[in-house]
Amino acid sequence: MPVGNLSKVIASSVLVVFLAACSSTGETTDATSSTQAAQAAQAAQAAQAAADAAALAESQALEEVQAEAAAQAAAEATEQAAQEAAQQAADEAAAVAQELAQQQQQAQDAAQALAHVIYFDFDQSTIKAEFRTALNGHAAYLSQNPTAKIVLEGHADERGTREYNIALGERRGNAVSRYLVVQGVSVDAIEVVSFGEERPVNAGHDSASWAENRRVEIRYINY
Amino acid sequence: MIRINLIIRLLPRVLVTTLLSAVLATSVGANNLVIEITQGVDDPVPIAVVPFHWSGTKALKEDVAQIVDADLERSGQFKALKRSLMLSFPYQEADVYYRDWHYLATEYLVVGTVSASENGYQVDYQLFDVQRQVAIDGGRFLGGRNDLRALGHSVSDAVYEALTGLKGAFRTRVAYVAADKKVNPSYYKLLVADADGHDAKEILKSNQPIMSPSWSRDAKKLAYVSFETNRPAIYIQDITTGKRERIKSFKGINGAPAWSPDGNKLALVLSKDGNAEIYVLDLNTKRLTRVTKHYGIDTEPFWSVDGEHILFTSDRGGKPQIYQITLDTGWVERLTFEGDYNARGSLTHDGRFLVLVSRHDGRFHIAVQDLQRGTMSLLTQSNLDESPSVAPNGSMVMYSTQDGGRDILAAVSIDGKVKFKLPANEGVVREPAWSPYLN
Amino acid sequence: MYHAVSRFIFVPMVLSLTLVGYVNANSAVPVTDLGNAVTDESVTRVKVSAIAQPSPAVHNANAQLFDIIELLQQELQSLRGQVEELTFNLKRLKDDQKQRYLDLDRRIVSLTSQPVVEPTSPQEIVVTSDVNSNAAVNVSAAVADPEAEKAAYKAAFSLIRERQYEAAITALNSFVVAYPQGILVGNAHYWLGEVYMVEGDVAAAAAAFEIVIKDFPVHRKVPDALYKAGVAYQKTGDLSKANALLQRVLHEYPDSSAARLAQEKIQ
Repeated sequence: MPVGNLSKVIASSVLVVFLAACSSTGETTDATSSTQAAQAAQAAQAAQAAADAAALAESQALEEVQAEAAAQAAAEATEQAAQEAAQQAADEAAAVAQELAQQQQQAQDAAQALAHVIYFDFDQSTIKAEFRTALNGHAAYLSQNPTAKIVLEGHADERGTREYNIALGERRGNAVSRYLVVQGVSVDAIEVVSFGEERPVNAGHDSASWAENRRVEIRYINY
Repeated sequence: MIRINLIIRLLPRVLVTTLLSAVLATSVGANNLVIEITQGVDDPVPIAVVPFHWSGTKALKEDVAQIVDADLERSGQFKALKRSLMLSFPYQEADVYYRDWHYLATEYLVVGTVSASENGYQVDYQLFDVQRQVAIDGGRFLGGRNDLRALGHSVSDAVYEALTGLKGAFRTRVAYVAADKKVNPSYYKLLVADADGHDAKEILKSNQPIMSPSWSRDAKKLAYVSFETNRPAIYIQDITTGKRERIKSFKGINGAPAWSPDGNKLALVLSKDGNAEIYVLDLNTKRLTRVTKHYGIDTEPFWSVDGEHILFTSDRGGKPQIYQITLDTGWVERLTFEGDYNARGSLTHDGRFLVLVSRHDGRFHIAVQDLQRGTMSLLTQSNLDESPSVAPNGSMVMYSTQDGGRDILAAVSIDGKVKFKLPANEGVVREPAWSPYLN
Repeated sequence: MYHAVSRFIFVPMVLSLTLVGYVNANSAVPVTDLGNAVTDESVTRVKVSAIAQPSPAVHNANAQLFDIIELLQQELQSLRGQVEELTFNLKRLKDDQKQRYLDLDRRIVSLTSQPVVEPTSPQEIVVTSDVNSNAAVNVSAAVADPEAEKAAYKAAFSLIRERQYEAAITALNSFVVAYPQGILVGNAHYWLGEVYMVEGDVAAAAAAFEIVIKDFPVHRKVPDALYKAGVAYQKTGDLSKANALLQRVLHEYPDSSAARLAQEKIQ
């Protein structure tokens, strides 16, 4: 059985969930939203965690193969053929699982390749436009990988009082957290810890050093 | 005639035991503070402190008169006469020739003796007015074998009070945080030293930040913030036994502990409800009460002298300013209006002056606001000055500042006239917390 | 805590979905019921992730809304700050104003209870002019009609008591022009200063008090004029000038009531 079939099955099943979700709100969907739903399904497919995805793919593939095998048995009435088909399907499922794992690894690599440090202006916690792409990438990865977890470490420069800077670091962490949540990331996947001015990356006392220290570091504790 | 005005029994130091990662409180060479007086009053009162007479045979570890000398000079209000200029070294009234001291333009004279007592030492002192040729104060202090420095500070306190009318704060301590990033492994330490920087003792060492030390009113415990678990948590540690407890911590900020005047409550900052807010924890019942409620930052609580108000820093008005909340009614009043960054407010013991960090022309200074007149004045002209902590008698403010690119401790008198620095001999030191009176 | 936060987050998010539904019909994003979202958080979360992920437009709208809320909070905070500062300044001005009125009232009351200064009868004028005998001599020579002068002064002064300050200023100014050598011209300058103070024109007040100090050096109002001029200069911010005047009161008139007041004002 070609791999494409399996992804269609997954896509259609996600579509069903999506349609169900939409209809439960009392709304109907049109062609545009169906297209979006298909996109969603593809995104959701990529979202499977490696282990989960492998298991899921295998079980779904097995089910499908069993159905096919039954049909074949009905048509050809040979048990031998069914067994061969099942074996073939299992091999295919393993290949699919491997491919999904590769996709997952690629997604993880992509997430790792994203910027992990967001910088801020003095006494500000507004996320600057230049960091949105990176944050959107993290958001996509996190919402597609429900087991992934991050810690947002908020930091401030040395100017101002220490405890106020702790609060300022947290405000920055919260700003990033809220941005990610708005993009669909579960709040449970995020923890904010502020270190204020206590852990500078640059020990200098000039504006260039300060700019480096006003930051939120995105730290994955689980991919 | 000697008037025994105060007898203090200093118990021998209890051998310190520690729990968890708290480190043995032994005297350490590193991070000791060294005092450099950088600015004094224009006309300090000339005083002579004659070397105290010691009746024993083995030389003493400490020069008590030298301790008194240094204490009085550090206040900036006195100028001590050099020993090399003294014409005689009396240690009792009968040997005092006023004319000699008058000739040396000395206004006051301190003499004394050190003698061995049952468990340590006994120090007797007398203070004379050279002009009027009379003894104006005298007393005796008793202490253990390791208490000679403390005995010296007690003499300084007594002399200072007799001459200024203000209770001395020389026999007090200061807690501070030391850090060194250049050594491997880098460390953060919480230390406690005498107010003159001597006898620094390590209270805690960690490879994660330590912050915001705050003294209990009996000066026996410290509350502080430690990130040793990679999350901030507030600890209370007995500085003599080393025993400590962690206060129930919450997700987010656990910071800025401040002891109430009655010692039963701790004001602190938590962000468990979304952002930094002030709470009060009853240390007996463990009941937690929320004090502030605003989406802006509320932090750095400081109790009013009567315990009925809490001062705090808030940016609810867009920029950090100091506010005061009345605990009974929840009424919030803004106290600072000069400048666009006023934070970390604390009050002198009489509640008259608000000491704070204030930004002017982009530089951070220690400032004092007279709460009666409403006028603010800057006490320091250096930059990145922070963490002001007022002496229990309200005379001096200790703070941290930058000196040659590193953090050091410094002190300034409440009128801004006297200044001295306490640089550490290695690493950086910051966040001084001046202890209350020790007894 | 996290539940509180997530609730806070999801409400605006659902709102933003609603917004998008109205604003961009083509995207045809289902309008989610706000009530549902609030009552059943978990269901909403599933829906949101299913709906929000496909559309970059929703991401952007959400992010925009998030920015708007943040901007509104900042705006509100800065407005709060301004209100606090305006309230504080207003209170200070009010206190200041009240202090000036009280001060003037006190002077008027003491004046009316000691008819020495207020020229209600010829004898009293004589008493006043006794202080400055030279002036009195000049006056007798120069002033054609002392009765008219007295009447004019009295009229101007009654305006002060009636708190018609602007009219009083006009009247006093006309008085000093009409009777430049008059026996009451020193008093007139002094009261001009007082009224200018009440009106908040501290520069004019200081100038009027300076006239008393310079042109009527032995006038009995000089200690008060020195003190008042000092206070006026304090308000203009000229502290060195203010302190010099206040010190003069202390040194030259140590026993005066003005000296006591000056002591309090010296910084």
